[in-house]
Amino acid sequence: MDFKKILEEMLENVEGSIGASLVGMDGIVIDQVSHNAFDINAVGAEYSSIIKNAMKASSNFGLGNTAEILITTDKASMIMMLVGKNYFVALALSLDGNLGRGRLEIKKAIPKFEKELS
Amino acid sequence: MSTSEISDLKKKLEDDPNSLVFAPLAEAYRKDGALDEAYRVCSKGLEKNPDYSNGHLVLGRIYQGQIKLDNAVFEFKKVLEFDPENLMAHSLLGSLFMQKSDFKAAIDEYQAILTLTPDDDETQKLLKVAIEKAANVSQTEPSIKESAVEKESISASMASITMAELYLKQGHLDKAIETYDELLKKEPNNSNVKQKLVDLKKTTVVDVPSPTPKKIEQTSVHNIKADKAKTSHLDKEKEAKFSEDDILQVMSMDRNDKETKARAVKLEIKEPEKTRVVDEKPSSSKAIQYSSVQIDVLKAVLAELASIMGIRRCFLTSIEGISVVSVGENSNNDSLEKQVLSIFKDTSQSATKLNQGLLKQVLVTAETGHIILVSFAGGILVVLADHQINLGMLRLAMDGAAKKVEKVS
Repeated sequence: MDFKKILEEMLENVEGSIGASLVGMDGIVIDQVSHNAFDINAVGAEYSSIIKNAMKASSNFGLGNTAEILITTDKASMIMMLVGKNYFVALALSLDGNLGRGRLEIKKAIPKFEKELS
Repeated sequence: MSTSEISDLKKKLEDDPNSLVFAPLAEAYRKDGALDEAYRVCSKGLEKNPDYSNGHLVLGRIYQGQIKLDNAVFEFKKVLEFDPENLMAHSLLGSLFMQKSDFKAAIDEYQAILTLTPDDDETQKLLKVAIEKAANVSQTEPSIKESAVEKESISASMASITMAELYLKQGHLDKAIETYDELLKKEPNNSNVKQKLVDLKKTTVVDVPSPTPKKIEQTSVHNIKADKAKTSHLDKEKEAKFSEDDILQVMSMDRNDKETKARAVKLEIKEPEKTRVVDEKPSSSKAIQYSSVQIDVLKAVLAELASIMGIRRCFLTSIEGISVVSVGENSNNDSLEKQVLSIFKDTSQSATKLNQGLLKQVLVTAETGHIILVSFAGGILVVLADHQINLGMLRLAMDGAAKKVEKVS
């Protein structure tokens, strides 16, 4: 199974999803799919530094390793979860998107990504 | 409900005896006045679905119809165990407590409703009535000279002031001002109310002129002194609501005001044991400055938020990174706050670059807890919470708190 197929499956299963991508911690996108012109590539690059900051803050606050980041703006939501130590998966949703389902689908997809990446 | 609709529901229940349709069927019987049949269907349904809150709500209403008030209270409380924000259960409990002359408990229920829906006019009226009744009960030593009319008038006035103080404590400054305005219309010579109104209106001015550094320092010292001077009645439950003592305290203060016309009425805000103001640092000229009254309101808002089980710490910081108020676990490490702020700033910049609009909320989930940041005009509300916390509820509560803080700012 390739990365695109896993990402597409994720998008199909989540109502209101806009795009999804697998990104390296260096901000380079491994693979991505999107329903419209949403630039998920740029999202990956932009948010990788935020993930690093969040990891540092979680650790300094004594909360352990970061597992997930949810960002909500007045136009969209973005769920990001870590895949191993070097990658993360990002899923962008419209405001009426199903966040709970989105989180579930990412969690289901993570072992598949890990298997492919190992 | 028509007979055919009842028949349909009966059929559905017969087809699937475990179905939740028992609740609307029992409710239909109740509305038809068939209380015994309603009870039979509902209690049987609850045996199979004991966690179905709506079933308990219907059963409570059936008990109410049967004048089994204690049973009804039990069922409505059960509803709130499953669904703490069930407005109907709060409302029904409020009216039951009024029937039982337990005005303090009724006030609690109406307050709970107003916390969730501050603009509910009907509940505002009910709360006022409950407070008036509680006031009448508390006036154990009325002046012999006071006529019944005078007593009623004083009681209504006290209730209005108490209502305003309640609004103030909950962060609804506009409602507090509205209540004082109404009272002033009825009592145009009430200098105490006039003064309160002036003070409150001052605090709601957003464009506060930037004080000189010296003035800022004085304000900070004043605030800290004020905090130290407060003899906190530490409440183990850490509820940001008013206790009976609070209400009586306000009323007692009002009575003293009437006598002395000199004492300022200011309700002390109960601070949870873990609450403290971390710092009210001098800030840059761009930062909004908070008065001591505003700080009190902010503390109350944060204390209410911190009363949610699982919250370790919450704090307010300005966009410039100046910590305003902090509640919960102590941390003297400013760098942690700066890190949180930098997450917010970076994310906000990225969202703008990506044309994703204004950043509203960031949630970071780690192994043993969450960091949640919510933006509001002029600042960021940050909460550190345990891993087990109900995130949906927390996000809602934070949005509500941010709105209250926004009003103060």
